[in-house]
Amino acid sequence: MAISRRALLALPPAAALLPLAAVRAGWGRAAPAPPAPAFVTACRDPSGHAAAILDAAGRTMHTVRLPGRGHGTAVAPDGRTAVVFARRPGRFALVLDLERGRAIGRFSTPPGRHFCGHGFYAPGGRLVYATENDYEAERGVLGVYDTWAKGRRIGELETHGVGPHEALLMRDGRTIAVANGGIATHPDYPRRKLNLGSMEPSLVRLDLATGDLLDRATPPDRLRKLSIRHVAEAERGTIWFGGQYEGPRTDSVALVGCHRRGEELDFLPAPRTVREAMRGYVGAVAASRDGARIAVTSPRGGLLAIWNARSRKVVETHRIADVCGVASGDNGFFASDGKGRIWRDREVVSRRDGVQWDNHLAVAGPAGRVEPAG
Amino acid sequence: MGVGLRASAGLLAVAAASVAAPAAGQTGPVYARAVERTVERFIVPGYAALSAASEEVVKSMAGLCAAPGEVTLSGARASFARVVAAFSRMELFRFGPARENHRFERLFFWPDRRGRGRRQVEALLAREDPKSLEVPALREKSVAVQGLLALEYVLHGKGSEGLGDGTARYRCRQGEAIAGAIDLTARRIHRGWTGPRGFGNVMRAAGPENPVYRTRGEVVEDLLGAAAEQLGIVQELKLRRVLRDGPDTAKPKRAPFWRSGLALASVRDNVDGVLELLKAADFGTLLPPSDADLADRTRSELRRARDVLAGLPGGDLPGLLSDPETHLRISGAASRIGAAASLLREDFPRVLGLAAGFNSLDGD
Repeated sequence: MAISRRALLALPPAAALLPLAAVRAGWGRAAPAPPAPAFVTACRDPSGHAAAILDAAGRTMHTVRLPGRGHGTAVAPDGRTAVVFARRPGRFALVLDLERGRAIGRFSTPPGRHFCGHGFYAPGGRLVYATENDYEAERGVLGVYDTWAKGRRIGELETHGVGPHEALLMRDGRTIAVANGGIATHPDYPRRKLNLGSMEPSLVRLDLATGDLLDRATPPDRLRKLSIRHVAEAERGTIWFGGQYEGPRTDSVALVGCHRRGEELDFLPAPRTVREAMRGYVGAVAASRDGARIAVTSPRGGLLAIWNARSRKVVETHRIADVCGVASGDNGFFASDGKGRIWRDREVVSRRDGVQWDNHLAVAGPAGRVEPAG
Repeated sequence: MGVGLRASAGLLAVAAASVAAPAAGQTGPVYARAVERTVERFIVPGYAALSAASEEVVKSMAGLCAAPGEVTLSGARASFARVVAAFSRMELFRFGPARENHRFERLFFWPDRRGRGRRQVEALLAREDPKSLEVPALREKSVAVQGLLALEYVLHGKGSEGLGDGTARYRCRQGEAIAGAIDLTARRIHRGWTGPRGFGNVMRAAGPENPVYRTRGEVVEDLLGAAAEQLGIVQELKLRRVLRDGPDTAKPKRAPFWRSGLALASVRDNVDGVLELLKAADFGTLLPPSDADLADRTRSELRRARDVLAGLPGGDLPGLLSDPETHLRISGAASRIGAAASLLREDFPRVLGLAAGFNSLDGD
């Protein structure tokens, strides 16, 4: 893969900035049909694994079958297409037309890599970056796929850590934030954690254009077993993260923190009751549209906790059994649970029996990238 | 160690009502009995037995180093087999005190996909650094050089023949130090379960203010989950990945303890550990009449698997796997172990109303 980064850099710079019209030409355009897609999520239903496209009220508009269990979704900047990634150690990614509600492309990891479940689109809506495990070398990478060329993999970037999980492109359009969970896994030992004795989680920032490492922050020694897995961007370039603790459950540790470039990780002293209610496990993190509030879910604790991003204090908690997916929506945070329910804050807004919403809720539509007020 | 605020049964802070409501699960006396019996009849005595066996292996190693010979060597190897058996019965407990301070990995660094353990032990033996013979110094090193697989390499790996004729003096003393480290780790886990602040009491004191278990149902959920996970590891990693499609493609060296010839014995002890848990917890008493046979079905699958493994002809693992008939029999045992795992993972929690939510399961 030595040439891969060069290949990536050799892409004409304009490629990343092609106008929207080209997207439409590339994928075909659906007739506008209200209601509009508002969220995308993986799910399990009686027929198996699927991706579901939901409207702003949490109702299912379309269901698209997946070849296996899905995980996170990257939504294109124009909100028309999205890529659903396989749950690790899966290798498929499906490109969805969100308006028509169908799959319009599919790509896979090359030999020696599998997806870690998350990714994002670069500006321009052409290139998709996916967190991947280079499992023989036990190092994390971001695979770069050209969705206009049948998902051809044109290169990869180092994540400078082991076991990357969620990665996002920051609102500046230039900086990637990656949560390196620090846990080595190998598909020969499905989902076994192979290095709990020597975990090195980190939160890194990379330059989108060059892949250069801009910043790498690691927890202090006493939190070495906190796998940093999910991230969201709040105001002023602050990244919020949620972790999963691999140490003993009798340890009451901070699972949520935030980070500004060049500084140490700041672990937030949530009330002890909130920390303990999370059972050592954060499943997802999301920022409100203005970046002023951060929602964190814990399925094991059945808890949705909302922080004020400025005061860095917990301002709301909601008890929702098996909650995991969370995303900002109209008038609040929307959350999904394992019982087919979609919540807005503490209220159920939709429900589908026999369906289990699976882990993450992604904001569909261009609204996902509104500039923060601050 | 000492990460953040440590909680224990004696130090449970008052939790605010807003987030402390129990999610699900049972709190009645039947559950209390299951938890009590599991701690008293299985976990505490099981770790006491592991401590005793590891103390024994320290003594046999000391005896071997003081008087190298075939008799002392086979004595040390026999002690080693007993400590592997005692550990394998408790291997399912990856949580609680075993999870603290890397104790589980210190005892059993596996899967070791890249053979790190062997390489690191070889390097340790080649260096002959007297400092590595001190248990505290050894415990500062990689977890891979201070556990059962490290001691196995000393006793059964390349160069171990020198233990019997006295030519491998350093190796012997290194083995003694590894045994000392195993003993220390085993005793710490044992101690972690007992006493007023022990994990046994954390389980017993399940309740809204307990930071680990809000209900005894959650304790039972953890016990069932641990048993199911162990059986899954046995079926998929210790057996299927070793057996593969047939004698031609089998990979005996993927099994832990293949060097000492204890691979299948340790798997049998893993199964016995789960059987002992089922007996101690008496999960059958928790089941509604309509599903009363679930515990028996699980036990029956495991006993049959156990009998198959116990009834195999003698010989080393490569030999057994190269014979189509024994390969098939071991494969059958793996299927039964997998069936029991799925009963514990899916049927029990469903019937008991303890089913962990979809998103709360094996997470990401």
